[in-house]
Amino acid sequence: MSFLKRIEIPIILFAIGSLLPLIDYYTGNLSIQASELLSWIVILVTFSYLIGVVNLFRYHLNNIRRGRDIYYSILIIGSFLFYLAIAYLNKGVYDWIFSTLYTPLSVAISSFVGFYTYTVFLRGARLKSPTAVLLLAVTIVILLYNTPTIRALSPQLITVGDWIKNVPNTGAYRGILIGMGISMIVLFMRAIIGRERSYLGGG
Amino acid sequence: MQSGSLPIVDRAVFIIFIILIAIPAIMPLGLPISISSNTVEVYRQIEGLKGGDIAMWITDFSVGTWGQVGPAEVAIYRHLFDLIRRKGIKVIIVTTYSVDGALNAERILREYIDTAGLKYGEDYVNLGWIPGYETTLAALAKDFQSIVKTDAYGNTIDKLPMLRGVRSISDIALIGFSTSTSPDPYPRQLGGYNKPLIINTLIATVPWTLPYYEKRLITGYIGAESDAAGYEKLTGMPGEGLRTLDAQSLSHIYGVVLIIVGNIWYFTRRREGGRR
Amino acid sequence: MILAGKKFELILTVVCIALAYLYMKGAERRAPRYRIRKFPALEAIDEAVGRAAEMNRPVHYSTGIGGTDDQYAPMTLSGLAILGRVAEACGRAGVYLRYTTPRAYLVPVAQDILKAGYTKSGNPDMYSPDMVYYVGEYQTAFMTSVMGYILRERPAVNMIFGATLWETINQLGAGAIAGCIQLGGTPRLYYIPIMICVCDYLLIGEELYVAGAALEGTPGSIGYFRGQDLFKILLIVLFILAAAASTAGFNLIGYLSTW
Repeated sequence: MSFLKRIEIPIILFAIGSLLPLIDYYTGNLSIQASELLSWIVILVTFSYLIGVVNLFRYHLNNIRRGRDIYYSILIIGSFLFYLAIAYLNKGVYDWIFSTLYTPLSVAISSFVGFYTYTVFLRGARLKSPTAVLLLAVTIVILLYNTPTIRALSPQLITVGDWIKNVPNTGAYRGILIGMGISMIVLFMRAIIGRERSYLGGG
Repeated sequence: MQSGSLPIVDRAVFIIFIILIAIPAIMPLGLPISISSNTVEVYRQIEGLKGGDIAMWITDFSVGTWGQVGPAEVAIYRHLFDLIRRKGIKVIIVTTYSVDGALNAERILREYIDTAGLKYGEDYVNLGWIPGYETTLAALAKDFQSIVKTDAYGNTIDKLPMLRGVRSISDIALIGFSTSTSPDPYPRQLGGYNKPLIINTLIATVPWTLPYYEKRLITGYIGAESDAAGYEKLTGMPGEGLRTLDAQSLSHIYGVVLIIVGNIWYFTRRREGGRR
Repeated sequence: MILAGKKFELILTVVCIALAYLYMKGAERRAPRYRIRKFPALEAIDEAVGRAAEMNRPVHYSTGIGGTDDQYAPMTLSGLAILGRVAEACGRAGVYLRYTTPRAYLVPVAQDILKAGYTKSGNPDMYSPDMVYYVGEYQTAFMTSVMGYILRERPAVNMIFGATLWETINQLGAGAIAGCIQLGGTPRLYYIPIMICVCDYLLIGEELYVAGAALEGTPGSIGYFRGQDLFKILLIVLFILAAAASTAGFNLIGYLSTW
């Protein structure tokens, strides 16, 4: 068992798993093995959900045993088991719960973003410096550009908005994407040579 | 911010916002709409499909973003299924990111699409959720049959005649996807094959999409309700996009008003020597 | 050996980045020249955890919606590196640390990190596997769970370092209402404007990656970023040359790709 806990083993597995698709992509060799690996990853990802489910159950069963947040924990475990059972027993009820309960609740929670954004507009959007003035001017232009009615009434806005979208915005996002890409390549290299170990846990 | 409850100003902001978006729901205002060029481009690419072409649509948006991505997704599904009847195209529906997408796809098929007269397995097929996200996308592009064993309802591939000839992305005429997260994996895995690749996404994700759009790795994009409304107008099948357009217009104008009012408030208090 | 038609310049790019990294790592090891400046957000961790200890309230930490199996891996890994530091600080101060994650495979990783942090600080008995809470894979569930926890338990500190999408706005909003000290950091710049408004300390953009190296503190880790910087400088020079050449009517990049 102590051999399996050696840190070199996951690093070697990482290296093999990373290099196989790369070799396949650039040379065409090991194509069957790379395809097989892709299928394995799908299976691994699916099984990883089990870890999460075990963690969820253990946490909430502990809460119930200790009498802490007992109603929330009973509700979570109960709804999990109910929804799981219903998926196999009665698809109609499953679909109804999804359309009538889950979707509106999810949309309602997501709509908090809009409320907080408006608070930020009121309290945070201040003309404190020349760059802030520029930022807010662009914000207002883009807000109006994304308003269908204003677009219909003002074709000049479309020209300005298109320019902001296609020129400075695209340039900035391209820079961000390139930065992310370089970080990924260097991280990949550090992980392959065993320097990056945060994904292996502590210690 | 003080801990505890919301300040009175914030509550007023929220209440006014709710009233503004409730008004069009009760009393439609019929505000004018303009159709963006990107919406027209997406419409033309989908309408340009010919008989026998296979279109693959990847529904990967989460349930919480139904309000933004859902209307366009419904409009596109309606367009694709209309093309099945008019031109005899075939449609594959699949999800790769999370089960949300598969549930959304099923909901659209169940509540918004009339499949009467269409043959499942010959005209369209729903593959459900194939976990793996980018790995699944890579596999769908390179070796379709290795990753697709059954559909969402447990039917094996040999029972789905339209999938028998699909080996890789080269057998697919058009690929589209909806996402409420980053669009990067899709052009990474599905771009560069010289196939139309269309995205339906949040308005906040559109700027992220533009570098790929400029390089034609993504060939068309639809962002949020305004483009959804435009798409519904182009297809002649009105839906939620057109219905919620007035509310969207009012909410955007309200945002601009808040920025202006907030700054007037700030400068007034500063002149009076007040502190925030 | 290389498939015809494949983008050889991609291999060249990877090799250049690799060489830049290895060169700078070696150079830093041999003769350390560069320091990483202090980050207020990292300096504030001890202060924030101390406040949590005084108030006898927990600390909440999340690395956002990203995982380590997608393009957000570098951000999540940087967030996990900072989590280790926070776990140590919480162990020293005797503060309960709660880590919420929407990625199932991060549960054992985070449990290991927390356990190591509490053990390292001399307080191993305080660690409990329940400190890591998995909320399901959905962004909405993650968002709601964190908001609910913050509004119910009123942690003294709310930290979010990693790949954050729009759930950040809700989480930080809830933290602002609950009166938490908020520390955040993400290379995804889309939500930085809102994070600036509600966070007390912030790591902006690539500062998050560098913060991970700053915590490690070895010359090799500093060389890591010098290598990236070197390659970025090379890219900027290429962009300027290509833009100038293109303006003059000469397709420099097209010409280079025919080599």
